[in-house]
Amino acid sequence: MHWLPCGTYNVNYRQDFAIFRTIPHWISLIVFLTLMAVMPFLVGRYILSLLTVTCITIIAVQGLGILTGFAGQISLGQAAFMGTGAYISVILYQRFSVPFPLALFCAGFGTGLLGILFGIPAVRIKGFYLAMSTLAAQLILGWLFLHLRGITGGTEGLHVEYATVMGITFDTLAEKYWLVMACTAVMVYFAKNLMRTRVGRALVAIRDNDLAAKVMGIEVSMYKLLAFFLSCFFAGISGGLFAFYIDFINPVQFTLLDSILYLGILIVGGMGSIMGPIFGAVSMKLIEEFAFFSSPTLTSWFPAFGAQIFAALSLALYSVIIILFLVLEPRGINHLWSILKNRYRIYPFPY
Amino acid sequence: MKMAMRLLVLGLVLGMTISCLVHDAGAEEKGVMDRDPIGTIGFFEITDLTGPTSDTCVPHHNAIWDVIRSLNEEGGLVYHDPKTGREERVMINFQYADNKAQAGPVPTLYERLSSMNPKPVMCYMGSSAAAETIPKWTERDQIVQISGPSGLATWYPPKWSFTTAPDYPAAACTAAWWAMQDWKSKGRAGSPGWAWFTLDIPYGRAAITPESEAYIKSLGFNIVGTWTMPFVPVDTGPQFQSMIDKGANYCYGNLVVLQQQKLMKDVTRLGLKDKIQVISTPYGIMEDILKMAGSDAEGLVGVHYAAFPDELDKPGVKWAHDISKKFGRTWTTDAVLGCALGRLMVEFVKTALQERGWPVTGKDVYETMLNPKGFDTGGLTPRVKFTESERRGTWVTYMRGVKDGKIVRISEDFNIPDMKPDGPWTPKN
Repeated sequence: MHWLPCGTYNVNYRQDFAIFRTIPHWISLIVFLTLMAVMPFLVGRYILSLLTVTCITIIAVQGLGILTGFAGQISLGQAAFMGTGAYISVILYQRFSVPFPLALFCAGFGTGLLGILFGIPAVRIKGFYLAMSTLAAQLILGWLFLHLRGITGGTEGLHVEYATVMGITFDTLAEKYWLVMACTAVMVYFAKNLMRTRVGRALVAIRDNDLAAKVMGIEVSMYKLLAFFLSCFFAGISGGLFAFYIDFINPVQFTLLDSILYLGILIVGGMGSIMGPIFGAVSMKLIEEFAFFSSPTLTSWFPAFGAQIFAALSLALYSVIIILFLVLEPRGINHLWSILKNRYRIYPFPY
Repeated sequence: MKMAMRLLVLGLVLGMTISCLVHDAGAEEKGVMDRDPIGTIGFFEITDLTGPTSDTCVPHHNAIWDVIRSLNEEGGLVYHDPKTGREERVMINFQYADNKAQAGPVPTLYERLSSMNPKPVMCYMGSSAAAETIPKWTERDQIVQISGPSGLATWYPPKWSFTTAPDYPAAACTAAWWAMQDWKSKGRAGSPGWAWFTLDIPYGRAAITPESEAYIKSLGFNIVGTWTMPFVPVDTGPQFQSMIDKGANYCYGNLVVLQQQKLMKDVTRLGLKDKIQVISTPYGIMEDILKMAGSDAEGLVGVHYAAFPDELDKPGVKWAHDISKKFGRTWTTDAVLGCALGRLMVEFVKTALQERGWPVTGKDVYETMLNPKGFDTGGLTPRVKFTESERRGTWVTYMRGVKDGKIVRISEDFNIPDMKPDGPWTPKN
């Protein structure tokens, strides 16, 4: 149940469906977007880089959220699909001179089609067995990245030229950040709206009880494949942006560990919501940076332990945090945020 | 009375003047250690401290850190400054981070470390994922990059990334050269069979290039195929049997001790040592193989380029040994390699300081590194040379082997062929 601020009430469907319902909502959005836009002038390269990588992660995890959070289909291959998008976008842009926006869109679309192929087992199997089939996607695609030397460069990887759109070359960190930020805003808005349509409701119905959904007339097979398509579309876009940010791609950048990490981010942030991937990506990146920052300092304070003990801090923190959330708050940070918002709105009257 | 006062004032003034002059004369004679350092140089490192390749990266990191710590404890890097005309010293600010052999954390780690104050002039990348991802960035930011791994992307096309290790395909060529000598010394006729037996990951496949295969075939080998194993192999017997059935006499792969020890155990257990010779990369014939494989390691041979830890007659090795012992490290070949890296990094900066004076930038270091005379490591590794078009510093390797429970040298030096793409060994078809 979402409480509206006191004095705010909806008199028509348009108001009821609005994402940004009140004036404070709109002001917050404009201030936030403006702040994000001027970030390159306010912060240094490190923070800018952190924001860029976090946004790329948000897009990937948003896709995973559509598949796992909304449709209830587990996937252990999100990183491999990102890699597919990365390679498609770079090959189209560099070898076939496809304009960058089209190359990026094709990366998403092509990865989506590939996702349908690997999602076919989802029509018949679920749970652990589906996880194994998506794991197969991760391993098969990883093998293809490594062995299709003539296409992907194999172990040598591909050097990525700077993206150019309408004469503007995105060769500085600030320009890459703006590009990624714009794409992230578009993708998140797209995901939010998608989940408010018939498609989103169908996916939720399938997650909750696919038999009941089928009885209700929802084409379960089609929507499951659509969920895979959408998830891989997001992964492809994310992979394409990653390639043009990092300027070099090779198979070692899209591993099974990354796929598992994205699932962990989704769990921590909150499955079945649009804000969940955002909360998860931001919080896990902050934890990772905290661990990277603190381990050399801890090593210098306790040199007898050696660098490795403290360098393993981030791995330990990830694991502990994921377990804590699974046990104490399985609905993730997003649920905590909802509780906080509702409490604030009805304070001091808890009824 | 008046005269006495005048004499007193004159005496005081003279005394003060003389004492000032004496004080100044004493200040000019102060040694470099008595003066403040002229500045601080920035270094940083991104390496794998907790990931799958940490068994190799950690000793290298420890050695580099020890070299820099030792230098700082002794007062810093001392050099003759052409601008001030006297000896000066600089301290080294060394920061490091762990990327767990993954590429994901590399961008933010790089941006954080490259933005530190003072601006770094040099960085060391111990992990392939880091070394191969950032050459474009170090070129953009004008920070000299020294790469531990020697995959193609770390040295070609020439940017600001340099490697002191022989490139992976060239190491395979060394192994093939020795293997052919071994074949002929045993009086065998015909073409020996060569098998790739490696990991199915980028590092594992890095040695298998059209150039390296062309060279191996030119020696007279018949390349029978490629076999792979998981990162933690359980049983490599089927692969060995399959290789031998296909006619393999020698097998080589980019492995580390974790896999190499399993290969030796299996080949001993199955009694295949007289049918196939296992050849290792530098990272698979370290001291750990003797502990992990025990007597099964007997007969393993491998490519290398560093000095042996017991070659203490070499000044560089003695120096590295003393530093290693000072910080309580285990003295192994990895420590030799790490100290060589640390020594070279310091040497590059020192040369720039002596040629250009303080302050030096990354560009100054880069330009002084492109010196055909090269840099001496005191015998830790062969002389390291870089040029405008060449970022690989080491062109000499040799072979080691496990004999009577020890790792010993088993060949003379070998000048490795040029394995670059579009180079002399690229097949023309």
